[in-house]
Amino acid sequence: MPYWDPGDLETARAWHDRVLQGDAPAEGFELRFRHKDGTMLDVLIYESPLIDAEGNHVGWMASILDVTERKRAEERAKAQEASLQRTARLVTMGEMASTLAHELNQPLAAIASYAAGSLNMIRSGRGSAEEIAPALEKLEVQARRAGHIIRRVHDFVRKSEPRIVPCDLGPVIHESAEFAEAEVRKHRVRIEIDMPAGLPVVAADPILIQQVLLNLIRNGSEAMAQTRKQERVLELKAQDTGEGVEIRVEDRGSGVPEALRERLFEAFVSSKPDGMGMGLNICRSIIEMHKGRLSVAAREGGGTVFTILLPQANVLEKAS
Amino acid sequence: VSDIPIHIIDDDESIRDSLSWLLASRGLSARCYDSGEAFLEVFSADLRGVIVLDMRMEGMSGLEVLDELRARNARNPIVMLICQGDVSIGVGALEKGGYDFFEKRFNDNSLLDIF
Repeated sequence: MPYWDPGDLETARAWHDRVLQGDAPAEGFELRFRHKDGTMLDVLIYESPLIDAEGNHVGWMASILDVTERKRAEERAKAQEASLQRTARLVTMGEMASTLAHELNQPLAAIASYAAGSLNMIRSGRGSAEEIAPALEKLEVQARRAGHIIRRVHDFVRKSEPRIVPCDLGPVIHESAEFAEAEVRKHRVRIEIDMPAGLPVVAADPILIQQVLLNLIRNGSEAMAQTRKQERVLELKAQDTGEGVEIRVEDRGSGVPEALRERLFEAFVSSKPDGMGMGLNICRSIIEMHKGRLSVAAREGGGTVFTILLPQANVLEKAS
Repeated sequence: VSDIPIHIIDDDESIRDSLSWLLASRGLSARCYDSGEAFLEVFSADLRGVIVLDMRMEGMSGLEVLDELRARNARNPIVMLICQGDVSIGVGALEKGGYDFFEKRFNDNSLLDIF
């Protein structure tokens, strides 16, 4: 039987046993065949007993359709849809950040003007408290307006309805690294992954976790702009803690001053000169939504370590 | 310079109000317009003063207002307010005859130094 896929003779045999038992599926069944030249093809086979005029079962009739092209098209469509979904969610987050930057600009600019004007009045000795107070009150209103905008971000993150599923973090980490590859290469940074095979399954939305990892990878590689080239390695480490999975993103960058470290997850706090201070804030919201923890520490030998802790899937079930 | 009026065109009330306050703190007086259309209604070639023009507005954009002002032979200095990251818009506006542009991120006294 040279035309069957030699790697999957068992399946071919199983189907033919079914046919011989008179149990051939009416909708046909799929197998892989091999051309004489070795190329493989997908086929759809319909089999039925051949009955002669006297009603004797004298043989078998089979029709074989080459469905290789159709199957490939289906697979392509499926892959495309998955990548579209991912891109759609990444784009929404990116778009939101840019709209947010524009919207926040208004109250922030107003705050700065009220403040600068008030200082001018005080320094020139012209403004009395009565004259300056209204400006400060309006400044307060604008600060609250900015706060509302930020709250909308949190609502957005919450409303983006995480699809929490049993999740193997191995592929998620690898995919995030691949996704970030092009960008970190621009900074001459290499990503190294260090994790054991078979991490416990966690309950998580893989796309949201990827968001967080991408953010941390990006931050880490940006932080290494001044680092010597041979040390520009971003390490992604994962390990089983017994209660869940710990992922560490370690860089050899400039580090975060201790005073800033504790406040890094607050909105508008950034260690980057032109940072919006929103990325890590959203990251922490996402991880907390997973009942996990996101923390930061100085790395021994220089640099920064971000640690994500995600509880194991069955630990979550017990808790709820 | 204190008798030269400054015309602020911005569709955000808080920007108009806070900028007026900032100008007032240096003895400059401002007149506010909530759209390009509103300003063009009162504009004539003999209108004096500096024009502060927001680039990103509902209705007519800042660049459209700028075009219209040029068409009407406006000779007033025009300072464009641009958003953080919109520097290319500001540069485009300069090429169209704007006097200067100012990033709206943190309006401190450097705006006043332009006047």
